[in-house]
Amino acid sequence: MKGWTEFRGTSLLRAPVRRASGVAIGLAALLACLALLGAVAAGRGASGWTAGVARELTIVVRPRVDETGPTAAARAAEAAAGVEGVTEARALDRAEAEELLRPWVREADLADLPLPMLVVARLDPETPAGPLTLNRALAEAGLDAEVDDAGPWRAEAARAAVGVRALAIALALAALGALAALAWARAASAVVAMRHDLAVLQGLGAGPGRLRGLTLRAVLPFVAAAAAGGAAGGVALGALWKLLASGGQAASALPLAWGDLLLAPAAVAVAVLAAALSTARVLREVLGGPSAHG
Amino acid sequence: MPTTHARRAPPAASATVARLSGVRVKGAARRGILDLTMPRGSFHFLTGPSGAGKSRALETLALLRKPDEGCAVELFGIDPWAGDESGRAALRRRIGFAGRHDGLVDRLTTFQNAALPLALAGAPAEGRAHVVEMLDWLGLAPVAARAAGTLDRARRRALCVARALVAQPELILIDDPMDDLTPEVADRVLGLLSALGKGEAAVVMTGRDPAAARKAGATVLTLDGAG
Repeated sequence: MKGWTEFRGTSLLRAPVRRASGVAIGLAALLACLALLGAVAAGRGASGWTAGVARELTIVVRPRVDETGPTAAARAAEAAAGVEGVTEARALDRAEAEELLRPWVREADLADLPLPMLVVARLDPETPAGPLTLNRALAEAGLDAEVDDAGPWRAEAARAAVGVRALAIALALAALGALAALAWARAASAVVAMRHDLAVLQGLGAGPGRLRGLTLRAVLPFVAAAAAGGAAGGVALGALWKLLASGGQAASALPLAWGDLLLAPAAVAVAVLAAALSTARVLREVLGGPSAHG
Repeated sequence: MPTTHARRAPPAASATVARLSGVRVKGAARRGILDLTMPRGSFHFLTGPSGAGKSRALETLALLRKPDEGCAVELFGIDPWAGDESGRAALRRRIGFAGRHDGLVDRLTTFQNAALPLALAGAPAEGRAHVVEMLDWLGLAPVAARAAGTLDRARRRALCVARALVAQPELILIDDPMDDLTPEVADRVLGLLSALGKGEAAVVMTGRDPAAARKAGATVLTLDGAG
C-alpha cells in the first residue's frame, strides 16, 4: 500500500470491537495477573515458613533445685551451642516464652502459670543437629532438659506447604487458562465477523500470508490492549499490597517482591498467543475453500 | 472511454487465457458438451435461463469455487487446483471479476474499493490517476470519497465493474451487469468490454440480451441449465 495516500491510516480489515469483549478480557487478565502474583508469593511464603520450622529446635529446661531457671536455661543454651550442627542457641525470657505459647493458650492469662524455661537452637541448614544428638549433649552437661521433638509436626508443615504451593499454581494456571479461552473465543468471533471482507480480499488476489498478516493486525492489538489494561491493574494492586502490607503478618504470609510484578506481561502474552493461534486456525477454516465473491 | 496504462508483461504469456471444459451448452458441435476456450482478444457472452449455471461458470473461472464434477478449468496454461492457495492468489490478481453479489468492503470509500486490486498487487500509486479516470467514466466521481456502504444499488454495481477493470486484468469476468446499471452506463460498459475483447484480454460476460452482445461483437453461448 506504499504510496497510496488514500489508504493511509485505513486498515483493510477491521475487527468489530465490542466494549464488553474488551472489559471481559481485561478482567480475566487482571484475575490471571493476581493469581500469578499470588502463586509466586504463596510459594515464597510456604518456603519461608517451612524453612523456618526446619531451622529451629526448642529445648525445654527443668531447673535443678539448687539453681534458678534462667541459670539452667543459660547453661542449656551454652551446651546446645557447642553441638555440631547448631549455629546459635538462645534462652528465651518469660515474655518470649509466653509469646511462643500464645497460639496454643489463646487469651488465657499466663502471668500466674509456671512456664518452662525454653531455649531455641538455630540449626545449620546444611548439616542440622538432630534431637538425639542434642539430648545427649544436654545430658552430658548435667542438665534436666529435653528437645521438643517436633519432627512429625514439621513433616506435616512441609506437606501443607507443598499443598499450598500446588493449590496456588493450580489457581494461577486456571486463571491463565480462562484468560486464554476468552481471548481465543473473542478472536475467533472477530475473524468470523470479518469473513465477508476476507472473502473479498481473497477474491481480489490477496494470498494466505497477506490475509493472515492483515487479520492478525486487526485482531491482536485489541486483545493486547485489553489484556494490558487488566495486567496494569494487577500490577497496581500488587504494588499496593507490597506498600500497605509491608512488614505486617499479611506480608509475611504472602511475601511479594517488587520483581514479581514483572510477571504481569505473562498474562498479556498468554492472551495474545491464544488470540493469534485462534485467529490462524479460524482463518484457515474461513478461507479453507474458495467462496463466493462477497 | 478510459485510457490504458502500460500493462506489465504477464508472468506466463499464453495465447489461451482460460479454458473451461465439461460445460453443457446448447448448439455445441458435440451436442451438450463444450470445451470453452478463451484466447487473448476474445469476447464471450454466456446466456441462458436462470439457474443455468452462468454465474457458477464465472465463479469457477474466477477461482472462487472449485470446478463441479466433470468440469475442469485451466488458466494461463496452468491447472490452478493442482497448486496451492498462494498460486491461486497470484492467478486471481490477473483476473477482474464482478459477480452478481457485490463484493465491496462497505467500510472503505468508493475510491478505495476501486483501487483495491492495484493496491493489493503492489502497483505504484501512480495508478490512482487510472482509478480516478475509471470512476469518472462510470459516473462515480462525485461519490469517490463516500463509504461504499452508503451507495445505491446501481452505483454499487458500477463500482464492482470499475474494480474489475481498473487493474487491466488479462481475464475479465462480468456477471450480468446490465440489470442494475443505468442504461447509459450499461452501454458504456458493453462498449468497453467489446474494445477490451479485441485487445489483449479475454472477456466473458453473462446476461439476458444476446442481441446487444452480438451487436458488440461477442460470441454468444447459451447454457442449457445443466451446467
